[in-house]
Amino acid sequence: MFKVTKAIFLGAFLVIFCLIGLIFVNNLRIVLTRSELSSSPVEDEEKIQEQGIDREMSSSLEQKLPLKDALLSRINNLKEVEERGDVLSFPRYKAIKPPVKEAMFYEELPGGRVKCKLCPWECTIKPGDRGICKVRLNQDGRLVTLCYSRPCTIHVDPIEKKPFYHFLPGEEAFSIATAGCNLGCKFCQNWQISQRRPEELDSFYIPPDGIIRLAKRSRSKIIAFTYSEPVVFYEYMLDIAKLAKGEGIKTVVVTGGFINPEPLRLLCRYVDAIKVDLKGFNEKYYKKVVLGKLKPILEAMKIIKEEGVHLEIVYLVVPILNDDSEEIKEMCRWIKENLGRDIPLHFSRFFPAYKMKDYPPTPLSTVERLRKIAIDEGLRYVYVGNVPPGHPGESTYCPEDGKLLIGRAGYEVVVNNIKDGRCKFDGTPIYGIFESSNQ
Amino acid sequence: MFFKRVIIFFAFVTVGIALAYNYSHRLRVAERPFLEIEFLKEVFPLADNFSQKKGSPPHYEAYKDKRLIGFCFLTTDIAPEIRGYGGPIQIMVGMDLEGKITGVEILQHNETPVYVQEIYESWFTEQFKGKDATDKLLIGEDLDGITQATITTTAIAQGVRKSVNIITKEVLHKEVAKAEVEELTFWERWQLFLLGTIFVVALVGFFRRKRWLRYFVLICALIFIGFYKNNFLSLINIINSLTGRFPPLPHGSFWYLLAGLILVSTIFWGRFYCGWLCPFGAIEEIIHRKRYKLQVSSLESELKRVKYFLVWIAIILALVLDNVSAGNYEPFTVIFNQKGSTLLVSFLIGILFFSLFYYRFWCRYFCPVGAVLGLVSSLSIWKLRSGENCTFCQSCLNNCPMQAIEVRDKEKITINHLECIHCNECIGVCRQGSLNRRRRGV
Repeated sequence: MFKVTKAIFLGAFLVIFCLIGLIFVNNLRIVLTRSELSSSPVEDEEKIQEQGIDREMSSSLEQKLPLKDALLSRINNLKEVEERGDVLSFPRYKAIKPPVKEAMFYEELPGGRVKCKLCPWECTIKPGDRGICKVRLNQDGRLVTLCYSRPCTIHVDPIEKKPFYHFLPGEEAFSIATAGCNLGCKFCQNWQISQRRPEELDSFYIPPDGIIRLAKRSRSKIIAFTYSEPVVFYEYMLDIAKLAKGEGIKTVVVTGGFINPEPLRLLCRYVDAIKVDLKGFNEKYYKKVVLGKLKPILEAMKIIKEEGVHLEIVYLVVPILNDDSEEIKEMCRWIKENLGRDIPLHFSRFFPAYKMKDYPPTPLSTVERLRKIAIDEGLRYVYVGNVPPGHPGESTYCPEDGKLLIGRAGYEVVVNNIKDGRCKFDGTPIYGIFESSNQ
Repeated sequence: MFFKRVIIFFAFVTVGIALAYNYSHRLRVAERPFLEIEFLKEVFPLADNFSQKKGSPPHYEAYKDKRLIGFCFLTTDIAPEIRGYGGPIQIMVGMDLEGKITGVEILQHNETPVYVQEIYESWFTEQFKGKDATDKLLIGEDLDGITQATITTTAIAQGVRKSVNIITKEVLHKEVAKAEVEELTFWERWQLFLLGTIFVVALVGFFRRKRWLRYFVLICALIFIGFYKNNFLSLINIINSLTGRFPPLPHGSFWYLLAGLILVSTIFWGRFYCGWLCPFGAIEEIIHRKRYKLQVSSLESELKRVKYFLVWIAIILALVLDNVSAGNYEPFTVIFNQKGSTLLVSFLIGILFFSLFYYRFWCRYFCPVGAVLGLVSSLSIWKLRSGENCTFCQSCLNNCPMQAIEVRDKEKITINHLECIHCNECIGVCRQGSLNRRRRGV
């Protein structure tokens, strides 16, 4: 008996001792990598002291601080837009403090609390608190949205970047985003805006008609709600989409799909296309990595299909976590049964970001393998994304005879063999919207 | 015995050498401009060129298209007297010609890592943008602070405020309002008073030998010092004290009071802090169940020495690398700030799980603070000693939860002062009244 207790005790002791050892090793790793980052070579220093810093030099120095580069790129991004001069005619949001806008889809509860019914979280919010999205605030028993008319990122991108491959190929999309998101993907590429509160970011005050004006001036035929999560700026998006419909501008939504049926149906009446980021086909993955739920997203996709809005699906492939062949097969079968074989599916490569910097980028072979599985399962339009430009998996082929329809290299459209929504060679109708109706 | 002395001597000498190396290393680092230029662009994104550091007070000039558009400067150049928890915090500030701040970046610091991580991750430094010398730049007034990192954020705000004032006055030649004197708020004074009260109550319980009072004080300490203030003694403080980096007054006065009380009580009686005030010890005692108690007496005294070895490694690492986080292996910040990596969290859970069965599992074998206080307590004046009328009944030995009582020379009860946490259990069970705190030879 005595020996057993002694052994248990020694075991416990050793466990803690080893953990302390691990902690030391971990500390050393962190401290040493940090000092590596901060010490710049002596030659550089001397050169700088001779010449001062010029632009190239400082940008090369920026690259040495990977933790900061994402932030810098955001600043540069804003600057770029500023240089265009258009956006500058609008004031900074902080400078004017416009009145906040009341939110849609909520219910008042006793005691001044409210229940937001926009997305499946259905947060019950105390006065003064915010929902999980950080942008919907209970202001004295009234739910208000803090990001109405408050875009923090404005950019003109090709539609292929969203990515939409079956929606006006080659057109430019005037893209906007505000702060906030109702999910919390650990691989988020835009966490600097999506995981922040609106007041933490430098943002403009641009009401919906201002966005329409800017989009027209940039000669974009499309307005895209993208980068962060458009569901959290639902009211702003809806008002812009309503105005855009009158002006003949198409609107597209790039979303995680985490939204309740009722608001989604209303949205579907005004927008032209929705891209859903299906992050995995596994509730556990959604719970652990995406911090959301899978089921409402599947329901949302069914509704989008039902409402007749153009739908594309992007699947971000993270190595090890969601690249299981069986799971992909199951997903393809689900898409085939519930949405149809025509829905375009993009397998996008993951690159280390945010809280998943310790994962490797997805190998090219993985997305190629998954594409093959999906094609074998009977899906007609399957693509790979974030791949070297010119990859054959980026282009669209005719489902009947396999001829090249839209040839792409990166975000450029090189060849376009689609006429009136049909294959130029054999007249097969192709899913999607290829010509803007009121030209 | 000789071997033991050699090891102790070796340990102290190596710590001394590491300390000397640390000071000389810091002097060398201070001589060359470290990192500064890399941050110029970040605090002044609009500029495309910068001059060298010049003028008095020293600053960089920022140019765009060969036109002067502002200045960048380091708070440590202008207001070196302002300090955070672990000495000066180097902050780069950008300012345009109107005196408005364009950006603030933290370059170097010796603060507790989790707090600074919090600052990096939050919007804290973004708040300074657009403010100028006419703004108050006070936490709680026009800046939002970060709870649990008060001293660090206050020091940052203070440094920025003072250097912006000086630059506005000296370089831009504008009139600025006089800088206000930092003072403790009413509630902060009350906190000092509360800490003093807890200490006095602990002393009353200590001398009156009240067990319930010890538990009461421990719970107070757990809530107030641990969860509310997050301001307890940790290895980081000890190492920073060794390297001469002390928290600033007046906001650090809570820490000074606590550290002073701990030092005095340790020199008077021994590891009084461990038994009566340590919030982590309180958690362990709450978790521990006498019903499931396991105890192993062989190997006990050998394993206890592990903590001295660990603290030695930690101090050497921290001093040689000049980075306090290198030697930080405590679970305190994980539980009191509720943040930490998976490794640290599993570590904490492991410790708490084992303290269910073993009384003060962490304190006895691993705690670096306990080890340092133990070493200090070998100097203490009124030690617990057994007297002449001891009948050698060994009930104290069997009732000591820390297993700090040993039998030496067959017929003599000896208390290991390095391990005793002054819980008074042994005094309570001694029927002869032989155990007492007294000076040597009295």
